[in-house]
Amino acid sequence: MKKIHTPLCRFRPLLLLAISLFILTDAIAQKASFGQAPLPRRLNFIVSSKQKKFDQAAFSFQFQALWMNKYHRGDYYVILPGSSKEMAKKITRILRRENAMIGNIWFDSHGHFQRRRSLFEIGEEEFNYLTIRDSIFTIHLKKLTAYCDTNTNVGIGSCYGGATYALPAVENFPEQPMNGDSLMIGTSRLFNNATVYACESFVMTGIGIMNAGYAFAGMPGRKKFKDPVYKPVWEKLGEWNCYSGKKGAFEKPVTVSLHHDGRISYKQRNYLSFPKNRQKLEKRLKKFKRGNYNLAHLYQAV
Amino acid sequence: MKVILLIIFWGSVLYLQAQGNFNRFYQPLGGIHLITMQGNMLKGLLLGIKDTSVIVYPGTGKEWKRNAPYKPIEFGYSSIRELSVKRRNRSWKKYPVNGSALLFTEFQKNGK
Repeated sequence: MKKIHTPLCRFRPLLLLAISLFILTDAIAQKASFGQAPLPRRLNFIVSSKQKKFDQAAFSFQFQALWMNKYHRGDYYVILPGSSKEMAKKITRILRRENAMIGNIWFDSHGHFQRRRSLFEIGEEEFNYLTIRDSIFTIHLKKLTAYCDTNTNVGIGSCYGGATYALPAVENFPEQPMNGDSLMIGTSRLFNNATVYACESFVMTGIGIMNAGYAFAGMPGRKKFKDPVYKPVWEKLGEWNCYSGKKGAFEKPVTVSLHHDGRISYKQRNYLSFPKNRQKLEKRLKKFKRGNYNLAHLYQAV
Repeated sequence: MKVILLIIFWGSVLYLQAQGNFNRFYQPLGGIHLITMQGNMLKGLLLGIKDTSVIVYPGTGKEWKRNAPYKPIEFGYSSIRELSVKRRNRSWKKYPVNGSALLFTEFQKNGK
């Protein structure tokens, strides 16, 4: 019987070699990935407390976050809880449903200068350097620990949230450190050694907070802030601190910003490195006058 | 016996109420803007005048009405540079104190 020689038959040995090589490499690759879980999906969250009364700053932040969420649905979730219990319940429900982990979580809140300590609030619950270590206060926040790791970023979006300076003595009130660094370390430990970002100074809520720009940095215009009592705060304008739970050390990111998908990132240049902003600050500092701040606020917090 | 028990009961109720609602021990005499010797400003309600000090509630009239539990502060004349007082149906009046109680006598007379 006569053999039929086709071009394919001529390259048969080469073809067999190529197929066997392909099978071998595929088997090796499969063996290497065996037992390893696929990388978990990461979700971003923005947490801002539900407001009982109209609050301009909170309204601006929530409006922008919700508006951006309309066009980037699924990229991040906006949670408006009344308490930490409600927040943990909502977040865990989403994470279980999506089988995902927390990528970035941003806590939007007011800072309270009159309390003379760094803090952030969820509803009416205050988390400061003392309460963040207390298991009774953080019982609901701990529910999120399982969904966090060293790749999680936590942003404390309250004014003076990461303040490391000491406030000068005023009248009967002695000099007091703000302990923002302790708050950041406590938060990082709570969220499974996550990376925590917090601001030394004011956190603004102007237009474009989710445009990865300098919207979080800026100067408030109200008269009460133009008092020497606030001097340490103004000197650190636009400066943020970063605590890496993985390294166990503080790093200095420059100015933190939020992306349209809820990602936390930081800008390469400091807000005050721009000459225009520096001049503006110098101009403001000249206008400072003792007596602009009402001391009654300090006595109210006692 | 019943009467005594009733008196004790209502007495204790009133006492407990007063403890929780300390603001009712005072009645605001007017608004006060106080400048301390260091130059800091304190705005509040004037609750009382003493020979050596003034008692100030560190809140607004609205906060007083809704019983915001702020502790009244006692400021000695030695720590006050100047104070302005606004009484009902009157305009703000400035009283230079400069750490001395003597300059304050005029207000004490009018206030009481």
